[in-house]
Amino acid sequence: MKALPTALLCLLGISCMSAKRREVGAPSELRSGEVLLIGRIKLTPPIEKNEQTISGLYPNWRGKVLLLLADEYRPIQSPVSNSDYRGRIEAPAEGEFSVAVPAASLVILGGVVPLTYVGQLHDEAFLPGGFRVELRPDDVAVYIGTIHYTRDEFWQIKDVEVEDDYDRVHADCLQRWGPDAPLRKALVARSQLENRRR
Amino acid sequence: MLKLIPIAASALLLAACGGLSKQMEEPKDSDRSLVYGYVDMEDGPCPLDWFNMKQVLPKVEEPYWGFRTADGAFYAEYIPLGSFQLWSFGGAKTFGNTFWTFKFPQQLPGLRIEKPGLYFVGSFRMKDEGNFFKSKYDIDLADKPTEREVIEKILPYAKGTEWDDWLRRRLKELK
Repeated sequence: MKALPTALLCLLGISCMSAKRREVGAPSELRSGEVLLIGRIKLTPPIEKNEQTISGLYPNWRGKVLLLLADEYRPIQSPVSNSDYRGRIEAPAEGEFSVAVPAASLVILGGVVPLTYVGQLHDEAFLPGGFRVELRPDDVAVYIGTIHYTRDEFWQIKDVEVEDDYDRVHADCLQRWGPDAPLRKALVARSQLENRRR
Repeated sequence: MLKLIPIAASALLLAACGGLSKQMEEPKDSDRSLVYGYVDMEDGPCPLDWFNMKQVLPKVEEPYWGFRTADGAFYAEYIPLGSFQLWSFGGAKTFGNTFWTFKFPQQLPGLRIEKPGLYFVGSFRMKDEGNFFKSKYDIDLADKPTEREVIEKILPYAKGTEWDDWLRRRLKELK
């Protein structure tokens, strides 16, 4: 009988957590008014298993960086609200993310690394953002680069660089999508001062 | 403000942290350091009964280091070389049999010990930001007590060990 309330709680929790960006593998999966956005979040050193305590409702967040998006820049406030998570990109630890976004320019407010998510106990590391993604009306697929964060053992961010892996990513897209892969390179740039939570 | 995360104290945590005597011991080897600080719990819900650091480098199987506590001071004379995060602290409220544990956020500057010695991690002050309906606590760095005052609190418990000499030398430096 104990399993039923737990299951209900899980369902409630999942339904309350706002939706992430839809992951798509090719332009053919896009809906009207959408653009395919490709990029990567790289952490050096990477997230280690024993740095995260995640259970219950958020098992898929292990090893991921949650990118918070908005139309205009604003600092991320702590605690992160449910509405801040709306339309997030769940960037995997390895490789590029590939998601559908509305065909309008946007800002990456910053990244959130869930460190402890157990019941009501939440603790995160914040990665600075303020990256503007400029989209054009005729865009189908856009590559924004690898945002490479260098951190220390205390999650203090020491360096942020945008790296260009377009040739590799474009070659992969050509292979998967065919010879007419319309992948435009538009590396992100810091448009605002880094957002600090604390 | 460090934005503490209140958590329910578990029996396991209490078992892991409790039971340390106030009396320091001789270092087991020459690479051990004495780490100390203070939490002013006057505006907190309980006295300071336990304090923990987590070793993040080098990686070890048992990374949590419990501290001795005495009158708001926390201290541990057996800390090896490495990098450490302030992790959690708390106490037991006598009336009501309530246990409180507060966790530091993980994205905070930590302590790197590259050579053995004395390391003062600071004084902190609990802040009561709650109201009648909901308890809420946070913590700030504090100017008082000073390092000198914290050493004076823990010095009696170093008696008979080489830490006594270390602390007295540090007191002279602080004059």
